[in-house]
Amino acid sequence: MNVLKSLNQRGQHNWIKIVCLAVGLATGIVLIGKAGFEQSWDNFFPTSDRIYVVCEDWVLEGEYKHYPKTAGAIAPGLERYCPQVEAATRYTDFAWDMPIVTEEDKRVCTNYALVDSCFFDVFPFRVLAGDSKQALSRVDYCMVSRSLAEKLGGDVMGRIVFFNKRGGWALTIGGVYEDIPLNSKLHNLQVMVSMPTITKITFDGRENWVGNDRYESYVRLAKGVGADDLKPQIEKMKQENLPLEDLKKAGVELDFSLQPLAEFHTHDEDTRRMTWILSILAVVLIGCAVMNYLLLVIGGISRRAREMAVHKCYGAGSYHIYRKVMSESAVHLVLSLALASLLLFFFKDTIEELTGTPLLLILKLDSNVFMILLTCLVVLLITGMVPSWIYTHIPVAAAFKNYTQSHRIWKMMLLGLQFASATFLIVLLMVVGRQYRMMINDDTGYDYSSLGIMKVDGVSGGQRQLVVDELRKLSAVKGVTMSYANLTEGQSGDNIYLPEDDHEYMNIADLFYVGDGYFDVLGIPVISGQTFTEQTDTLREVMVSRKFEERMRELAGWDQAVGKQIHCTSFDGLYTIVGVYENTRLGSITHPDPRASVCFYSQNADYMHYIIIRFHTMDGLKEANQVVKELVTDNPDIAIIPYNQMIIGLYSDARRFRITVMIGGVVALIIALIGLIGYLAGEMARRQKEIAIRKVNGARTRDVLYLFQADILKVALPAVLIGALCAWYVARIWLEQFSEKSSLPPLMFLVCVLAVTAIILSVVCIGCYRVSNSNPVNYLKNE
Amino acid sequence: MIKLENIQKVFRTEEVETVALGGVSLEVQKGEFVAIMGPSGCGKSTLLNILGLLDNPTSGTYYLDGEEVGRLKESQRTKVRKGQIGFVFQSFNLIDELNVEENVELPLTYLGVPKKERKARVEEVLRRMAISHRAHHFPQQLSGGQQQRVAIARAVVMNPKIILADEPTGNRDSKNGLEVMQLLTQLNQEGTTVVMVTHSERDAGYAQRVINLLDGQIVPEVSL
Repeated sequence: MNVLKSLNQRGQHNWIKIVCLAVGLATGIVLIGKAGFEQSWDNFFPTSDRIYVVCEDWVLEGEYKHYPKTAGAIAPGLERYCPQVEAATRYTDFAWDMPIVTEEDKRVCTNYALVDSCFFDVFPFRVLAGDSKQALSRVDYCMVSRSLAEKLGGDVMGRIVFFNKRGGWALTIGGVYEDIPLNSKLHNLQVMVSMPTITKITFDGRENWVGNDRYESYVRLAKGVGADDLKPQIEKMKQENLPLEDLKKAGVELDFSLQPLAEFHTHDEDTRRMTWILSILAVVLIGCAVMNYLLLVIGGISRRAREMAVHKCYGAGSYHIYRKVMSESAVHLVLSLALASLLLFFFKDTIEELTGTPLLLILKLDSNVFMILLTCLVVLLITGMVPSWIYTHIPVAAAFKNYTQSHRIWKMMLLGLQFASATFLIVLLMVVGRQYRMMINDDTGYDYSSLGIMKVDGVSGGQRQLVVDELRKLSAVKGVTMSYANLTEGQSGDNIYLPEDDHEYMNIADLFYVGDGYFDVLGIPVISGQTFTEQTDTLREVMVSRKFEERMRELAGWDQAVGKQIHCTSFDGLYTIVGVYENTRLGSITHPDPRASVCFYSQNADYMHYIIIRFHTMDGLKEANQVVKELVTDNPDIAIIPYNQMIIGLYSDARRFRITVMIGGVVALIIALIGLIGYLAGEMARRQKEIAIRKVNGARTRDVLYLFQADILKVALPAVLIGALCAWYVARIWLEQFSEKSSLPPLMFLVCVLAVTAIILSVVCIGCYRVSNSNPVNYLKNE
Repeated sequence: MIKLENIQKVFRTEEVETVALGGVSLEVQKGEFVAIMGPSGCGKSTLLNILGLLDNPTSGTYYLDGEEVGRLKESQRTKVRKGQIGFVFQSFNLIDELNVEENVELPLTYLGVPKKERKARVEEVLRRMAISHRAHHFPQQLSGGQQQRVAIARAVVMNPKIILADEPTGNRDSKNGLEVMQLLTQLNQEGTTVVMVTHSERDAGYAQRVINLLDGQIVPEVSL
């Protein structure tokens, strides 16, 4: 009861402490939760420690590459050759964000994968309806996740659904399985199409030992077996099935390794880096709030010390003081947590958008519950023990003697840490913002400023051509082309051979087919030779990137590429290089495809996945989409989107991180400034007589302000410099994930340091102005 | 009951050394009422702090009920103090967040007295101090005289052997001051030893013995 009463105790600023702690805890808990969530991937099911991802390890021209997919025959091969393998399975994605359509024309965008019938032998996900073995063995059968089944109408067993559009390719739903949790590498498996259906979709590489390595392969090992125990059997499998001699001639070494599934995401360098950075941000924010709490406690210590002395006079020992202060801190913490919960509830949508994860899922994880409780315990210990220690160490007699010891060093240290924390986050925000701006304004090697793109999967070849022809007629449209590949995605790989030479020269990114005017529409400069012209698809011609030419100069001693013939493994026979185009970015800055690229010409719209439109200005987009809507009446999801929007979408992680750091920075700065205001209020009260005497003796308001500014500057300047230095260090780690990094100019750091210092000094001016400007007699009278 | 032998108290800062008490020796018998007088800065309050085990002397010995208590640690001093010594301060030192009843109850809480008994004892002492009607008021809602009575109630509620009063009438008008002194005299007559620091000759008149301090030293004792 008394603890609750003490909440409104004068001079203790308890509600400010609670609000600051709540804000710090709310942001900290989200960050801790997100970091914990990233570390929880694929370790939640009973056999997760025995499931391994099968990976390929390539050495080509002395360069090692680790690839987490394999050819189709590897997973079943491992099961056959290795008695330690209890079960093996494989799957391969083939469509992302494509509609699944019911007979009633209900459409839900989802992801599709071809999955073999052993999937549920390896992964213990619950099958809710149907026989998974049967469903995944029969052609044109599929299984769907529970949530998808609900979206499709609930009772879906045995129902016919269509891929992309009603009346198109039909699949029978033969089973429903429990949703795969979000913290799983397999989460995107929403429609499992039976593996035998592959012949209707793509090249059937199920029996391939090398090449067409698009399969995600998994094995479940027997208890007590390690990945290394399989090495002799894997070697035997390789000797008996792989064309090792041919590979050797081609300069290639291929091996297989097993990576624990539970470590696949958690040990990924990007995940570890992000977990580390999120943890630092959480510590900084919670630390800031805790330091603010202590600062306010120390600020009100003279008054409180007297109260504690009274308790001591009447028999309270150290134990009683600790118990009293700890219980107060516990109440403050509970109230802070309640307030933090409210904040999380009100900002749930924003938090989920920023973390990309449902808030409840983050908070429900066992490991996160433990971490959050541990954090609360540490906060309680610090906010309870430190003040208790201070109170028990103030002599009773001293407390009654108008205790005015300032604890200035402590206060300055706490303030300094808060300033450093705020500066750290603000400088980090500047770096993140700079990198983000660089990424979304990235020089990709092509001009996407007034470009639109439309994915045309599910649209017939005839319709595609009609759309192209009609769009070309629009006055707002400068040019239209088609392509197989989207340059912002990772590309399929192909190997390059030269005529009458079985040496494999390099693996390239194959853009496959492009249509008329592709280079003009995208604004990709052709640096030698010529572009494709109509009719050349019958002339076996190919264009290559500048990097291709440069690599072949090194590898094959070419002087120039134009006129040379090459064999690309996805295409039969030899093709002649007719032109070299400037390098373009493939993939994104975060996930770049650094390989050289090639492309082939085709007039056949059936081969294309994208229509690309160059507008005079993007104002023409609406009109163009109207044309598309009128022509493609059976597929309402088809639309042209600004290319720029797609580029921005590539960097949504960086955008989210920028907003997270921004929120953190603002929170830290506000908390630090509240701490500063509290400190100043305490100092004003403590030094009001001194100020008055100074004024009586001729000091002007500005002299008094200068006195306090100089005081704060002594701690603020080193603190912001330390904060900026720490930010520089963390920013460098964060930037490691990008293939192209923004620079870290000293001027930016200097500007941030000066800006934070200016804010601090402004607050000092505002906080001290009243006392500095008031009549000194008032304060001398009080004395 | 109290015996001080050559007590010295020196306060040291980096630059200055101040001798607050320079070899004070005195004895206070059980049931005595002693007043300590002297000018400001003569060491009265320092002496009272040492007597009340709020502070340790720099040197010398202090016997309380025959036990040397001058070298005790804070936690040991708390133990000895608990239930034995009641304090009455010039500025009352009531806790603003606690009401009258809770302020008076405070020492009993630390003595571990059961709730029921605490309530009864608090009620009794408040009645004795004639402030029962203010039991649920907070200190700010009371007059200065009432606050001092609460402070005395808090000092006596645990039936201490000694009451140490520091300028108990310092903040009072003459009527209230008289009431306070009558209360202390009554407590003394009931057997409680009272040591009081005062500036007031009139208040000192209530004491059986006056100890005069000057510059940290006792000047000749006057028997009344």
